[in-house]
Amino acid sequence: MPTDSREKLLNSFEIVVESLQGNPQPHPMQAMLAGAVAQLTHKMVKAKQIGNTLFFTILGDSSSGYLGSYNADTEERFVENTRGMFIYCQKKLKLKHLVVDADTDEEVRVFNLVMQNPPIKIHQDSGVSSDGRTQFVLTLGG
Amino acid sequence: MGFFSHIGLGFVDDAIHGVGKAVDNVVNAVGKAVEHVGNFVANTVQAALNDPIGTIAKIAAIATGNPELIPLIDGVDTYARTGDFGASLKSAATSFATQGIAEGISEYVNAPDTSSIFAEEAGNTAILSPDIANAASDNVAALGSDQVGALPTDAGVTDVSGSSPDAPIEDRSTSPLNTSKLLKAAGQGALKGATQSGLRSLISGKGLNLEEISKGALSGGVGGGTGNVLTQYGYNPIISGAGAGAVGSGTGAALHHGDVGQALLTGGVTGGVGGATSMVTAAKDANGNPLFSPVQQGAINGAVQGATGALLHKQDPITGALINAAGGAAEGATNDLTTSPNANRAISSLAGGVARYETADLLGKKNPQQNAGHLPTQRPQQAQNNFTQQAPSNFTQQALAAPIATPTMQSASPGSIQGTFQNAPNPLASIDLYGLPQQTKVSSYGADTGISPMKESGLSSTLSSSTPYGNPAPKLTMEGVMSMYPQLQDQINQYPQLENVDPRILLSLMENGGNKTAFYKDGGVVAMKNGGALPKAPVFITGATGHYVKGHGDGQSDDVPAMLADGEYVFDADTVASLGNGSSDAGAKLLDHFREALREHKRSAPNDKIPPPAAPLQYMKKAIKRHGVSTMTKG
Repeated sequence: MPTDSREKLLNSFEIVVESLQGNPQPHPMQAMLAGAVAQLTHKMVKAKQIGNTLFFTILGDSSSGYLGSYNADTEERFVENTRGMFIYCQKKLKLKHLVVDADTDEEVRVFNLVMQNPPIKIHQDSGVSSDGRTQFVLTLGG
Repeated sequence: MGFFSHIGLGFVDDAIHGVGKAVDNVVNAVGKAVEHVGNFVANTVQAALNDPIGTIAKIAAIATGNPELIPLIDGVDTYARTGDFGASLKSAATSFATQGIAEGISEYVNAPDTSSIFAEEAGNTAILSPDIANAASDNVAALGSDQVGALPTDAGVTDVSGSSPDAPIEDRSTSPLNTSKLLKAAGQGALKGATQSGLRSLISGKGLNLEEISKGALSGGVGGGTGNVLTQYGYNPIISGAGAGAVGSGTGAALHHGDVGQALLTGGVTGGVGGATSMVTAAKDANGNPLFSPVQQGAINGAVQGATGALLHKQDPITGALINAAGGAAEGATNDLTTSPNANRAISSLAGGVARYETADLLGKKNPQQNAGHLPTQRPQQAQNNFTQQAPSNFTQQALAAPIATPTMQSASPGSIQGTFQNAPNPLASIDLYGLPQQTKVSSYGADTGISPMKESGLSSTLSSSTPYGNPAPKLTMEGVMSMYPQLQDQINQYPQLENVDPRILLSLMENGGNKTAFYKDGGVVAMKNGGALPKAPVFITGATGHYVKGHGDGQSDDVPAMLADGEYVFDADTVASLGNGSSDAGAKLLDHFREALREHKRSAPNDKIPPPAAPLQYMKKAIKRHGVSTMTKG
C-alpha cells in the first residue's frame, strides 16, 4: 500500500518491506531482505532515500551508473522523487550516464511521466534487451 | 532488474537493440558493475536461504556507513532473528529516530574516505560465508584496479556512501574517525538521554518537558560521541570512560547551570572506574573463554560502581556496593535468557531494578513509600554489559564492534552514557542509586548538575523517591492500576467505558473491593450484591462515561452501578423513552441537545456580566431543532 511521503515518511526498512511485498518475489522474505541489505550496502552502490523511495545507484566506470529503486510512495510522489534523484545523480554523484531498466509496461509508463517534465536537461535513448526488457540510457545534462 | 524494487539477480543486457554505439558503451560499462553486484546479491540470497540469521549478521557486520540504511539493517536483523514484523518495525523505527539525531551531528564531523573501497573489500568480507566471500573477492578481481580509479569521486556525497572501509584491525591513532560508529554512538546517547529525560519529566508529574528532553539528548549525545571518539583513537576503557563521563556530566551541568567542575570530576572518576572495571571483568583466559560469567561481571561492575558512587556522594560504600552488585548480577544473569536485544534489555533492567530494590529493602534502606511507581530501568553499566555480551547475531552492534576487536570496545559508547548519567552529584539521585534516603528536601531535579538524576539508577528509583520528599506524586495511570489489579481487565472487557474513568477512581474501587470489608462510613464504593473479591465497578460515571446510561438489565432493574455527584438529576428510563416517542436513544439525544443549548445560553455572557436568565422553552426548541424535526413532530 503506497504511503504518501507528504503525510508520513517511512524509514528504509519499511520502504524495502513495502516494496518487496508489493511485487512477487522468488524467495521468502527473509532471504530477499538479506539480498536487499547486501545490495544496498554494497561498496559499489550508493543508496539515497527521497520521500518514500529508496534509490540505489550501481556505479560503473566512465561516470555511468545503473539506477534502481525500492518504492513505497504514491505514483505522483514517486515521479517527483525520481526527478529529485536525477538531480542528485548529476550534482552529487557526478554521473553523466544513467541506465534505467523497465520490466513492465507500468514501469515504462511511470518512467515516461518522469521524462515528460525532466528536472534537468536529459538526453534519452532507449532500446529493448534480448529478453524483452525496455532499457533507457540517460545522458544527464546532455 | 527493473526500476521498481528488484534485487539484482540480473544485469544490464549488453546486447541491447536499437541503441547506438556510444550508448552501447555506457550499457557495457554499467553492465559489468551491475552483474557484479547482482552476483553478490544472488550469492547472499542463496546463503540466506540456507542460514538466514547467520548470513544477515555477516552481511550487516560490514554494512555500515550510510545512516539512512541503519533502520533497514536493524529491522532486517530483528526480522531474521524473530520473524516478527512488529518487532522489526519497532526496531527500525527506533533506528530511524536515532538516524535523525545522528545526521544532525554529522555536520560537524568528517565523513570517511571511501576512495579505497575496492582494495579493502576482500579483507572486509573475509568474515563472510565462502560464497559471499568469493563473490566479494571476485568483485575486486573482475573490476581490476583501473576501474577503481574510474569510479566517481566521493566529493560532496558523503551522506550516501554505501559502506565505510573499516579494516578489521588498524592503527586507530592515525586512521580517520569512523563516522558511522561515532554518529551511532552519539545518536544512541542522545536518544537515551532524551528518552530518560522525557520519562522522568512525565513520571514526576511535570508533563513532557521538551527543554529537559533536549538537554538530555544533548548531554547524552556529547557523552556518547566523546566516548566513541576516544575509543576509536585507541584509548583504553579507563580513559574513554572517564572522558565520556566527564564531558557528558559537564555538558549536563552547564546546561542546567550547575557546578561544571564538580560534574567533570565526579563524572570522570566514576566513568573511569566503570571503564576499568569492565576491562577487568571482560578478561579472558588463554583459551579465549571469559574469566567471569555475566552474573559475576554484573555483580563486580555494579559493586565497584555502587561503592564509587556512594563515596562520591558521601554515602555508605558498602551499602551502595551491595545494592548495585545485586542489581548488576541480576541483570547479567538475564543477558543470556533472550536473543532479542530489546527484550534482553527490558528483562535485565527489570530484574536488576527489582534486585536492587529488594536488596535495599533487606538492608533496611528502602522507604516503603518508594514502592509505588517503582519502575526499574537499565543501569548504564549493565547496558555496557549487554552491549558486550549479546549474541553475535545482533549484527548492528557487531558492526559497531567489528573494527575494534579488543576489549577497548567494551567501554565505548555505553561507558560514555554511563558517565553522563551516573556520575554527577545530586542528592536525589544518590537517594535512589544507593538506597540511602537523605534528609535533604529536593525541590527539583537537576538542581546542581541537571543530569545527575539520570544517572544509572536514574529512573529506577528517582521516580518514586520524590514522594516522601514533597515532590508531586507520580501520575497514576491506567496501566499502573492494571499492573496492580490485573483482574480489572475483565471488568473493562465487560464494561469498555471504564477505560475513560479516572485511574484514581479505579484504584480506589479495586482497593475497596479487595479482601477487606468496606463500609459506607469509610467512603468510597462498597462492593454490592455480587460480592467476591472484586467490587461492582461503576458502569456509569457522569461525564466520564457520558450522560446516557447503557448497561445490563432493563429500565427498572437498577443493575447499572453508577457514580453520581451532588446536585445531579437522573431521569428514569421510561421518561427518557417517552421523550423520544418510545426511543430511549432519541430521548437521550434530545436531552443532550437540551443540555448543550442551555449551556450555550448560560455561558454566552461576557466575564463581567452575570449569565442571562434561563429560557427553558427556548432550550427545548433549540434542542428539537438540532435533533431534527422529523423524529419529533412527524413520529
